[in-house]
Parts: sequence; structure tokens; C-alpha cells
Amino acid sequence: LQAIWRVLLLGLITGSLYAPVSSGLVILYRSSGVLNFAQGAFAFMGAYLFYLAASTLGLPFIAAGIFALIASAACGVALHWLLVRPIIGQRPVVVVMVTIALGSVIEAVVFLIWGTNQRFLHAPFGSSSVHVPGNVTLSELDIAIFLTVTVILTALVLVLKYTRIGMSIRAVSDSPLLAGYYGRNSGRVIGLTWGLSFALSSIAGVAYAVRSVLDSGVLDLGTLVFPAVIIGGMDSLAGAAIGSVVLGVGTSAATIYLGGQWSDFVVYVGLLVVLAVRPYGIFGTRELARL
Amino acid sequence: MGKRIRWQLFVAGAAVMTIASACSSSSSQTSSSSSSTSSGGSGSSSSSTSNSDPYVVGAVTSLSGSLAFIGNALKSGSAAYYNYVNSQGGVNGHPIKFIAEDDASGDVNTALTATHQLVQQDGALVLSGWVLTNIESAVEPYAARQNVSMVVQGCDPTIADAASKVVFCASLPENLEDQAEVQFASTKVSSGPVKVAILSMDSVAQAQLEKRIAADAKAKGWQVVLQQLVPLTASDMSAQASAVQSSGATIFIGSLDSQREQLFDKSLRSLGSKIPIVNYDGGAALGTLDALKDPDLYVYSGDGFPTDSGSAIALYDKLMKAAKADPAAGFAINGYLEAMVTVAGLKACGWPCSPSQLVTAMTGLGTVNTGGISVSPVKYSSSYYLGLTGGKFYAYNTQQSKPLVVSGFYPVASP
Repeated sequence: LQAIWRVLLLGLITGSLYAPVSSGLVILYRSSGVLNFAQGAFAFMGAYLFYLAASTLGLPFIAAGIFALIASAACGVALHWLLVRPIIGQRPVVVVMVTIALGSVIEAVVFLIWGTNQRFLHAPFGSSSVHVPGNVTLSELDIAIFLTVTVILTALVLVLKYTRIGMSIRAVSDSPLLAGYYGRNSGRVIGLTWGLSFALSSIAGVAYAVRSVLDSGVLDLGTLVFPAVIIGGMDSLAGAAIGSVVLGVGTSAATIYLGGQWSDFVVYVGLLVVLAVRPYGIFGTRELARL
Repeated sequence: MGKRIRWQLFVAGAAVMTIASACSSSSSQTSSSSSSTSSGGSGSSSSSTSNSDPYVVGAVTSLSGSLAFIGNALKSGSAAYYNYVNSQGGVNGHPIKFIAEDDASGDVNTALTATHQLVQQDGALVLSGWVLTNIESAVEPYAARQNVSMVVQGCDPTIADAASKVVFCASLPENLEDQAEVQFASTKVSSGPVKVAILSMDSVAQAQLEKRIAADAKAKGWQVVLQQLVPLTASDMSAQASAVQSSGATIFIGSLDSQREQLFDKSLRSLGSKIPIVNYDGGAALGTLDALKDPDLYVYSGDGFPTDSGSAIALYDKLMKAAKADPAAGFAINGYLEAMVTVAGLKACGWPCSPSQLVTAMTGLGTVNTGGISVSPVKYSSSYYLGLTGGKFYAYNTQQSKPLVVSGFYPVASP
């Protein structure tokens, strides 16, 4: 029982790294129907914006985080305005290609500005350990990341559910046409979701870089979370978060019991099983087509 | 509406063009980073030569993509040394023209195209810079046909041998680091039963290293309590750290790259474990040890550290800083060593020097003293293409607040 508890806790920690990226992916997919292959690049850019604030501008850790969030959100809105808005209505493959290109351009821009050297970010939390019930030990940093992500995602859900802007986002997500009919500015709302998505991914980018090192490895977050959103459901925010935890638990369990080389195998077998039983994901919406 | 979209597209297009032109400018700087004057051909291809004719040295490395931090560090190290040699009058009175091309972090086709371009169009006599051994293996048959020397930092003993004749290692052969790691580890374990945990990256060479470490440990009567491979894309090592902790291991021996080393070290230490971590040379970057500040993390290295003493290291530090490059960047010193080895070969080859003459000169180099840039002198002969013969272990010294050498010389195993 203790071993299972340990795997669950490790999965929660790992899942909290994936959850912001997968949530950002789902928000974009719901609001604008775009499957964004640049999500990892958003996390990458966000982490470098944090580095800019913390190391170059010398801001304290929390202030640098806020700076990175605001700057990332602005980048997301600007990207939507410059690149995405003009191609809305194009065939999905065109939009997908634009996001792939966008990822490459963001990567190149980051390397041009900051170079390709590895950078090291330091958190004010020590690497000291915290004993949690069940005889499991976790690091202060991991607990801080988990709590931060939980608070931010909970706040996001509350904003989407109870605020006027949240209702606008949900309305545009359900039907941009109908939302426009009722006076919602769909373009502006979708632009906002791009900012939101970019900012969410930047949280994961910073967390990854603080735990490890800031380099192009952050880009991998974008592809790592795809199984999470497919398992959870492409259009479900709760599904994205739960899918991320499932992904984290699955990889942790595979690593501990079978060895790290089996973690991808376990994840993708799980993915195939979910797709066979519920092709739209555990929490996704079943789409009906009338012929 | 239509006007607005056109205007947005114009702004986006202009931004992309600006970035593209910046990239292109950066690339052209790369291509001429160390050149003085050149007509583009190698010394060998020219019948009437002048002292301004250069030796053309090519590099195919990862300048973009996920391994760009390694490729650019290699390039900056090599460029710093070639610039220095050119400033001292070149080799045999001729400058070196250094051209670095991008393999897009392991794209075999891109690497092959770049290699063909360097050899056939630019007239490169010698190639270096690869980050991945699988790219080296893919390029090696072509280089062997063309008789073009390959000076490589990713050392694979299965291609750096007398059968190939053109591949010369300028770093430790990673799958032969087992004996050194296990012997050093034996100095860090106290009396009583020794329980070893082994983690290696999931590559061919490191999987071999993992098996050899396990065999060496068992031969010492130690108990191997955990033996796993880590996916090259692993973004989290907390599960591995937890598995090591719960295995009851008294020492960790492995081959983790610098990213995974950081994740693993932080995760394991946060669990309260203080067991010694002994890692292979792939995690031996000054910046990594500096960031972790873990006095119980020991890394094997065939290259010197910028914190070492000696005039060659001091010169390296000075040249890198003059080039506005980071001397502490992982793999920068490897690029510098590749350049030192290449220059030694060119010196021995003389002028003019054809590719096949250079292969002969490299094979007959014997022992090259690098003055501390590598821990051991570099050695080549018709039966030894691995270059380095061993290395030392480094760890973070908390008193002096920097990584320092903590062991004597440990040789690599025989191929």
C-alpha cells in the first residue's frame, strides 16, 4: 500500500509539470479549434522570459514569475493577432502547419537572443526534503510546484465558470457564431485564450527549468503532454489535468516497477486502450455527425 | 477586413524575414568564423600554392535543435583554437579555414548533405564536431571512401579502429568507462555489503556501459540492487530517484547526461539520500557541477576543467572569453581539443597535404601532449584510434566553491 501511495504522490508531482501545458493545449483547441504543435515552444519562451527577469533584470523569484506570466500572455495575444487570426477558416492542415512553423520560429528567436548555452535557474525553496504521511519524502521544490499549479488551475476553472470573461470564453468555445450574435467579440476572446495558453505553458517551462536546467529540453514538454490530453479528452480542461496526473502516475509506476525504458510503452498502451474504449477521451465530448 | 488581414500578414512576414535574415547572417558568420583568406579549396587540390592558401577544416555539428547547446559549444571551442593558431601564423605557414555546418540535432540526411558539401565543394581535409555517434557512424563510410579524417568527441570504439582508419577519437570512449567508474566507486564505499544502483541513458553505447558496470560490480562481489535505462527524453527523474532510494543502494554508478544528472541528483538528495553518485564523462560540465554544488557527486572526465591549473587551461579560458564564449559551457573544451588534435595532424602532414596524407599523418602522430586540455596525452597509432587513455574524477569542493579534481588517473578499459 505504501508503494502505491508513493507512486501516486510521484505521479501527482510529475502530472503537475504536465498539467499547465496540457490545459493550455485544451484551451486553444476549445476556443479556436487549433491543435497547437507550438505548445512546447510556448513553455520554452516563457522559461526564457523568466530567466530574463530573474537573471538579467535581477527581479526576485516571485516578481520574475509574474513578469514571465504577463510577458507570455502578451506574446500569446500578439501571436494570435499576427499569425493565427489571418488564417482562421483555413483548412485544419494549414493551421497545424502554421503552429509547427511557429514552434520553430520561437525556438530560433530564443536561440538568437539568448544563445544555446544551458542556463541555471535557482528557486528560493531549498532542496531539503519534506516527510509526508505514509513514510514518503518529497522535495520542498516539488511541493511548491504542485501547490502553485493546483492554485493556478483552480483559479482558472473558477474564472472560466463564474466571471463575465470566463463566460465569454465558454460561449465562444461552444459557438463563435452564436457568441458573436449575442455581442461577444469572438476575435478578442480567442486572442485572450492564446495569451492564457501561452502563460499557462510558461508556468510549466519555468518549473521544468528550475527542477533541471534551462535548455531546449523544455521544448519536449509540448509533445510529452499529447497522451495526457488524448486520454483526458481534447476539449476538457478537467480531462487535461486528470490526464496529466494519469500520465505522471503511469510513467512513475512503469519506472519504479518495470524500469524507465518501459515508461513510454506503458503510456502508449494505455492511450490505445482509452482510444479503443472512448475515442474522444475519458472526459471528452462525443461528437455526433448526421449524414 | 481584407486590408487588415493583408497588413497583419505583412507584419508577420516582415518579422519572419527579419528572423530568417538574422539566422542567415549567423550562419554565414559560422562559415567564416576562422577564415582569413581563402579561395575555398584545400591545400592538396591546388598545384600552385601560396602562403595565403588555407587548410580547410570542416565541422558537422548540431547548431540548431535540441542539441544546439552542445554543438554550439563544440564550435566555439574549436573556433577559439583555430583563431588562435591563425593569429600565431597558421600551420606550416598556412591559415586554417574553419567551416561549421548544421546537422539539425541528429538529422542523418542533413548531416550527410553537409558532409558532402564540406568535402566536395569546400575541399575539407578533415571533419569534426559531431554530437551523436549515430551520425558519425552514418558519415564514416563516405569519409572512409574519400579518405577524409574524422576527429570525433563522441567516441565509439566500433568505428574508431584499424578497420575504418579514418576515425580518431578526441574524448573518452564512453562504453569503456566502466572499470574507471567501478574502481573509483570502491574508494567511496565503506566496509560492509556494497549495494549498487545503476542508471544509464537509453543509447547503444550507454546500454553497453551499463552492462559492463554491472558485470564489474558483480565481479567485485557487490550486489546490483537496481539496473535501469533512462529514456533520452525523460523530463523527470523523481521516480528513478525514489526507486534508487528504496532499493537500499549504498552507491550509485551510472551514465546520465547533464540534464538527467541534474534532475536525478536534485531528486535523490531531496529524498534525504547522501550516497555517493559516480557518473560518466557525459555529465562532466563545469556549469552542471557548479549548479548542483553536491560534494558527493563525482564525474569522470577525460578533458581538463576550466578550474584546473596550468598554462594551457589559462590560455583556453582567455581565448574563449576573448571570443565572448563561455569557457564553462559543457563540450566547449571538447571542441577545443578536437581542434588541437586536428592542428597536430596538419602540422605533421605538412604542405601541401592531401586527405589521404593527413590520414597517414594522424595515424602516425604517436603521443600528443595537450598541456592539460585533456587529462591524458592524446595517442594515435595504427592500432590505437581512441586518443585518450583515461581521465580523472571531479567533484564540487564546498570550501573553495568550485569543482576540483578529486582523484588520480583512472585508465579506460581496453577495447
